[in-house]
Amino acid sequence: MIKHILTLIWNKKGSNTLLMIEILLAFLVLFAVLSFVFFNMDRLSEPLGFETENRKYIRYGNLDHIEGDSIRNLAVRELKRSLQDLELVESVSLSHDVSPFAGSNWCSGSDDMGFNIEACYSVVDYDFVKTNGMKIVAGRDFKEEDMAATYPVLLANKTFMDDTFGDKDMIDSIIGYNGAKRQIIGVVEEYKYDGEFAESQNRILLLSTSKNSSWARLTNAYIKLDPSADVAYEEKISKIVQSVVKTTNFVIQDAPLLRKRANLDTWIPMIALLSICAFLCLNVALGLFGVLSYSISQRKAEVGLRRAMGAHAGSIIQQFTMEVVILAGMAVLIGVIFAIQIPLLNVMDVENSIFFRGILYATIIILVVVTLCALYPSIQASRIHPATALHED
Amino acid sequence: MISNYIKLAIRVLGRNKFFTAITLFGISFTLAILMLIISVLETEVGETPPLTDKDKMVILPSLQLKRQFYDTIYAYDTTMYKSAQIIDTTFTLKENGSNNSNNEFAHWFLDKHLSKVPNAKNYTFFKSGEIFNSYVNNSKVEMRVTFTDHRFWEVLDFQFVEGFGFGAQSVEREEPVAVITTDLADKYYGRTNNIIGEMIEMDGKNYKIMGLVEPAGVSLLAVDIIVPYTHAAIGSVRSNESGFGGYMAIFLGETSADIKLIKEDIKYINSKTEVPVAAQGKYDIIKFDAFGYHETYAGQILDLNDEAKSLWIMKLIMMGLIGLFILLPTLNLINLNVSRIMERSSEIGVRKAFGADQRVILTQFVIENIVQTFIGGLIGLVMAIVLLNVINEAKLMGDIILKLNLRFFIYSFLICLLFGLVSGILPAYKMSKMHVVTALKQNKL
Repeated sequence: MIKHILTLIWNKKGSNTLLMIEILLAFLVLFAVLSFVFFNMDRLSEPLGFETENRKYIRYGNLDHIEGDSIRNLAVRELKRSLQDLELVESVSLSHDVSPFAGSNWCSGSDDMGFNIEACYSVVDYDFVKTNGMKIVAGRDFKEEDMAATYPVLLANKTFMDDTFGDKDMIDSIIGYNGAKRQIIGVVEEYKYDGEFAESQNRILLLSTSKNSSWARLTNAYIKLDPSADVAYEEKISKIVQSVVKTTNFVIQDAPLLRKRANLDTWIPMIALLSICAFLCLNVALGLFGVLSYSISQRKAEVGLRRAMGAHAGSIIQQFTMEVVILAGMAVLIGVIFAIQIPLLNVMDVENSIFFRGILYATIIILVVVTLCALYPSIQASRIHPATALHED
Repeated sequence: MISNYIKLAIRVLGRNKFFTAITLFGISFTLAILMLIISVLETEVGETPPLTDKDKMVILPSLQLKRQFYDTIYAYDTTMYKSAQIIDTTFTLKENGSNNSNNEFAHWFLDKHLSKVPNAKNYTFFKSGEIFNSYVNNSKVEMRVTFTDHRFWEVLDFQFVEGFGFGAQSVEREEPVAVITTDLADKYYGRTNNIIGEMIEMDGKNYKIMGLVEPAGVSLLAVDIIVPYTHAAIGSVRSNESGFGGYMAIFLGETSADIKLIKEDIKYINSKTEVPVAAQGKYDIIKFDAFGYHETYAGQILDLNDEAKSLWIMKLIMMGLIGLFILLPTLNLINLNVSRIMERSSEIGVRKAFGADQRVILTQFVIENIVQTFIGGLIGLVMAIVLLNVINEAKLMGDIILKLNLRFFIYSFLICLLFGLVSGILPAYKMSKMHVVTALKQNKL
């Protein structure tokens, strides 16, 4: 049977080559787009590590118009206090420049006692974990007294702990990081401040010390609001910030909106690519359908002969469908040979399973689409009455 | 003759509705998406206001201060020589980590070192990225401000709806004047005309509006309000002394050939510039590189720290993607047309029998295909314009406003033509090659 079909395919090698190239290309496009989608979805499924609901982020910057660290320090403390005093504000926290969805990144790395310690960090105050709804999975949260601790304290995310120390329990250990000896007091679940589509990376939260120079560099504030606070409440917050920092050069941003916008940056290309891909598939499917129905209708004589010799409708359908599926299978096989090089040669610094899934799903989609396209014309062909078919020739 | 072909082509289209629908669907969608891509490229990298002269522009985006640490690596080679061990030691210096700061310039730094670039016809320094809030009628208006000098209006040809840009005197005398975009005017005043002379409040200061411009619609110039740089908070002492500040520079050459000269000038200036005194304790290498507009653009997207390379890679990626994207529908169309050759065999047979040669038939079928492509292209154009408006309305591309211009239509026309030619030639060639006898044997006249 298969040998017979292969002969049939070989007989029309000219037009079949074109068909195969088309299916091959469609496979490669599908593979690329699906891999991209899986790559992003994998990241999306990892936790973000903090909550954005009912949160506002205020970025007031360096306060360069206030001269001197000690006065700037007072202003920053005053800001925190006066925001906390507001009725509908549940908690307030401060951090330096690295804040969620802002795009900045501060990293540091060094070799400490045989551990390669590398992580990106944020300097935050003691209310940060609470205000942003982060989860502590081991150890404890920052406390206000920690600012005066002998060793500056830090919280690390789970990725950092697993990557650097493996299974060892490192709570309360002292490590060298960013030019100082620091104590790990706890582990947070995650802190993907670049957004939900970011890769889970090594992150460290450094507690700002009580020194003037440290507090004066806190440039961002985070507010957790009561759910009953409405848009007009933002103006009230704005007035308070303005009266403390003595400028309107600050931004109050809605955290859920920022998160949505950051996600949109990935969703838009993903949806655009997927819809272009869907269009290409539809285009190829329709084209294939056209070509198949046309070429099968050209083979009426063959069908008539087979029917007259006793072949029943099912075997006619099987023959035509198999012919197309085998053709597509060969094209996909060539595609797989190309596509599999990417995970095998480690071309990209990405987890290989993504590409294998990409190959699997692209293969399934192509074969299903091709089968569907072949089925209808084959059924049509099988309905031809032998007498009509043979009469024409 | 050609009008005959066109008439024939339209007739053929009506003959088999199913195939026509498939073909037109493929063509129109492909072309619509291509037109969208053209529009994005045209808006972001094409020469449209306010960046009409972008091919003559050199952009100086940032200053890099660096200190490189070195490690000494020792290598011991031991050899036995006359039964005694000889140790041969070599050591090499290897780069081992660095302290690195990369940021925009301070205004004084640009003013001191880069205001006299020999081959630049004009230049402007500007600082973007600061946002001020203001509350109008119980809603928040965010104003993205650019601080700049009077030459900003000479280097960039913003489209003025009303009024004009501020001059050198306004900048010098620190006059509170501003130019705003129609977007901001709409949000702030609820109208986009008769704005000149109105006051706008920003950071507790009132600015008199002297110009109203169309938004730039490109990511580099995402701005709502433009004021003289003398109003920028000068207090940033800490960052200022080290040479960092937030300002970028654009230099304009006489022709696009000047770009190379300006880049060399800046390289020379870089080699003669020392690390600012305030930063000398921390850094010992100073580096600032200038790039053409397109290089800067590619650098922003790919972020490879090498703008020229980024541009190359981006061009390759773009061409590869577009190529792949066109190839599939083209192959599809070729497949469809090749398999339908027999449909037209009787016609070819008769024409050949009456003396038409291969070239005439080839021309006929290619023209037929091109006509088909243009009908599809027209549908595609409508779809593209609808999609464009949807994207602009929903602000899906952020600050980028997709525009339609003459070049867009020319490029779209060329793409249609190319698509029609490429997808038509192979089937047409096959048809024209058909032997008279075979063609006539298909007795369905």
